[in-house]
Amino acid sequence: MAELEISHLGKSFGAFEALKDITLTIQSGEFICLLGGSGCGKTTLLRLVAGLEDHNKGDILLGGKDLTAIPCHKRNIGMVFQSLALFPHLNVGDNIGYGLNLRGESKAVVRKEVDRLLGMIGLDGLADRQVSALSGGQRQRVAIARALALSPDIFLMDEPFSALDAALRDQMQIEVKRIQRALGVTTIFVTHDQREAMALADRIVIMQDGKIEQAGPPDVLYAQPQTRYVAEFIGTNNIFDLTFTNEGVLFGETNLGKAKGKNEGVLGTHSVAVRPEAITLTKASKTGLIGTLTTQRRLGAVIEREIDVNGQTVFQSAFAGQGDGFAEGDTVAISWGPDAAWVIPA
Amino acid sequence: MISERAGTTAISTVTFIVLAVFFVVPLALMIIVSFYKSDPMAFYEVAFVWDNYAKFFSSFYYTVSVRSLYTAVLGAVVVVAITFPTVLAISELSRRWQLFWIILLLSLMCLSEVIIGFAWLILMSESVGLPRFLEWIGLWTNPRSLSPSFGAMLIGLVYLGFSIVALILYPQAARRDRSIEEAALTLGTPPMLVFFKVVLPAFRTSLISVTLTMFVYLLGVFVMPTMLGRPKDWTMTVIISDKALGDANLPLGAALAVIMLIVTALVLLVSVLATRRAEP
Repeated sequence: MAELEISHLGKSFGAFEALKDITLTIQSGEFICLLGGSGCGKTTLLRLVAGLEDHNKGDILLGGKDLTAIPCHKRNIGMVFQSLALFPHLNVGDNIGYGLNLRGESKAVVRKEVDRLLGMIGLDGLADRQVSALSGGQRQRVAIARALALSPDIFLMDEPFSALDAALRDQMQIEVKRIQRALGVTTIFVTHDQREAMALADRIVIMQDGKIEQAGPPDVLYAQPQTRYVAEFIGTNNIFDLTFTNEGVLFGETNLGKAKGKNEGVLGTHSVAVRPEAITLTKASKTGLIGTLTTQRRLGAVIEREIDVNGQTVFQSAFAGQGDGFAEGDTVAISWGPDAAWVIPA
Repeated sequence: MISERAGTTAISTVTFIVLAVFFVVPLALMIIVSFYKSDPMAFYEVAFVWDNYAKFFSSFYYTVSVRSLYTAVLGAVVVVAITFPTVLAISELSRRWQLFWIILLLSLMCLSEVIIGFAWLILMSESVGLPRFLEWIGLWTNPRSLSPSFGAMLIGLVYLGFSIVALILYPQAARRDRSIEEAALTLGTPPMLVFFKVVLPAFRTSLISVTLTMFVYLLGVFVMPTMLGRPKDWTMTVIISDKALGDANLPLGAALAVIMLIVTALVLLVSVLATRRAEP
């Protein structure tokens, strides 16, 4: 395994610039999720690493070797496609053993490796079955096994679970994570589902408009978003435009008191992110932020609320049993702890 | 109010009547006439004789039927072999260019076989066609007309089948999952082998089906063999027409047609069974 270095990578389709100056280093054995909305460039980046598209500028180095000079079929890349792309004319065993057969491995070696991979994905004894006779989850597993059969240097997955139902998707996420950990293969996983990215990745790369907005471990992205886009994209967030002064923090005309904790000493107007679970609701008082509870939904163990504060909707969530006793239409006061407010740098 | 069941029955009945009128009745008439006695003055005389079928086993008809099958098989294979890669190439073009080619192919199907035949006659003629062009660029010193010949006839047949095969294969080619080809690449397949390793096998059933369709179609083509082929290249269709209309021997023409129908059905049956057995 080796480190993958992407530097100043650019890709255009005619006048459309799909990737703009992408620079990213992926450590050996790391599990990276490329996360972003449609058209953000995540799949294009994956396809450039795979060699399925030609780049316009920049470099892709694998262990110091220029990957862009190597054609796709010689890159030793394992890739799982969104459509899975299993070969319909081959059975399960032949699909998994396709690459090994192509390399000229003996039948015995191919059979042994296919059986090993089938065991790893929990499909023992299904080598002779047609892929059309498999369930959605089984097909996913076969696609993963086929991509891993050649012991690839990099394992790429392009939204492979997008067609699965929620339960099967959760199950496959656990499977993929287990296999990736067991093999230690460097993995790049493309998804538009932030929940999936949070569950899988060692590091999430959030992309927008062909650029990397922020890259980092899931908990860091969640707690310390570097841009407003990331703050709004990862989970639900309350973004307040606050003015920090020596007299206190102002939300419009309301003085919320002096900045404390990590925000002490901050001056000027900033966008501040506060997660719904960090917001505390109390009966209305004469000070602080006052609003009207407009919506209250109980979702099992969690209660989600929306409070209208001077025209801005504030989201609040709490475990059921904690902070109960509010009804829609109530006038409430909202507050948060000194370290719960994250001043977005950009 | 008509019930759903009554509606289905009515549609089935109409379908059956249409099939009977346009297919079963003419076929039955042909089979009946094939047992009649030949009468050059009145086309046929009502009788029940095997003479017309017995004539098939003469070397002439036997040779013609084998040649017809050979021509149809060769034509079908060549037309599919040429058209399939072309259709794949068209499916890779932009939507606008794909539409252009599809409209062009549809337009070609509107042309009369006779017009196409004449066009090829001109193209292969010694005076203004391909031979003259080859002479002009110095590749042929003493040019002569390329038709009539077996090759010219085959070209005519391939031309006729091209649009049909292209329009049959195009929807599948346009809708095919390109990621299968990309998956083959990521698994180490050289680009030149991707076609043979995954594209061709994925289309196998369709290609066999369209080849059989072409085989049947080319077996019945009449104009191209007469216009572009030599008499010794003529297929059974031409001979049947010649016997039935030229020699006014309708019973012999009918018997030859029935035999060709049985042979064609047998060829198709064997092909379908072999294909099913070979399927994974």
